Amino acid sequence: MKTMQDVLQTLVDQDLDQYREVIDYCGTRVTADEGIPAIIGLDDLTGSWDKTYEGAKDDEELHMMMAAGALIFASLYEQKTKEELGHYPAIAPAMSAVAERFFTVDENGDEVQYREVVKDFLKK
Amino acid sequence: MDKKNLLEQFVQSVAKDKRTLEMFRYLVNNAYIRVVNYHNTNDRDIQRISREISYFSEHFVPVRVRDLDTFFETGKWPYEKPGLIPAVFEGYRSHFDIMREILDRYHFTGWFYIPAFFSEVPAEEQYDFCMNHRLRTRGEYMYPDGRIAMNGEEIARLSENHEICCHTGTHYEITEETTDEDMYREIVASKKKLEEYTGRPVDVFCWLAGEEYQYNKKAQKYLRMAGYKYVVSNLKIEKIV
Repeated sequence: MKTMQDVLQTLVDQDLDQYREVIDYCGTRVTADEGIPAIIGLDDLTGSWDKTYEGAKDDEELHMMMAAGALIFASLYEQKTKEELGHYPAIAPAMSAVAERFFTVDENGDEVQYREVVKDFLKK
Repeated sequence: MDKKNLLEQFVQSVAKDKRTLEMFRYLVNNAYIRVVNYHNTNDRDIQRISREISYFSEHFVPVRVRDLDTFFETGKWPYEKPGLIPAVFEGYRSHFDIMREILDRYHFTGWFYIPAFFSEVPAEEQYDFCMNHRLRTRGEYMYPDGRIAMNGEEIARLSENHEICCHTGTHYEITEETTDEDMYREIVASKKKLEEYTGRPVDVFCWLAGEEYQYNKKAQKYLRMAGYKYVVSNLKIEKIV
């Protein structure tokens, strides 16, 4: 299982060009007509703020990578202009990019991008 | 740029908006869910959508409101596979004809975000209603009779296997300046309308433009008056009661 140390190491090791490529790809999607993936938080406003949760077993290896990825994507989206971001905060498109980049893992534990799901239907 | 400057830029950018660190916390704490957002579901996209839903059914579990109840009550996601919500926006008739059929084929649950009063607009006025209420439909995929919205009977049938969620009454952007009368119509009366159709409680409200619960204190009164359990925004699903 990945730890916070793994997350920090991930941040250090990442090739940002891979993340920029995902951002470029996300920018080509037609949001009105395509299924657009995203990750959203779950928050219990009736409970205590420090409650901890146990996630799905199949996501054990992935959620920390998603967390690291969210910071990287958000930092890259923050470099865009207000016009490019529209009225959304940088973290909003970043969470969609996280879902695109870390949609699930395959049987070998390797990350699967969302575009792999729909690769037969991508516009050339 | 040297490493020190790169790191400084990174720290500044992620600390600029507290929502970034908030989302980081949700992910680290396993408190998150995948969604795939759909708007238009037209004939030409049937194969692609079928491929997506088929894939979801193999790798994820569908999510009902009761699964979120369990997650928050127990602190544990109740399945080995992660959950995924196909979130289908705007209450278009094609969602009933196309998306419902695909979801049912793969026994997967969709969350349909419906502006409650769209269904009551006369068919011949629905295209103009879309244009005036920021509903992104495409004229070239019109049904011959001009009806674009699901009607009440279709919403009722949809609710048998799927979650019906209120997306305001008229696809209305609620702001802090919105009057009490408009708030009531768009938050409370809209829920009642959907419940009239379905005969089931509508537990989920979704803002336009995806704001979160805390952003509009005045609206909170109406969300509680209506009796919603969850509020959905761009970044999170919040349990409010």
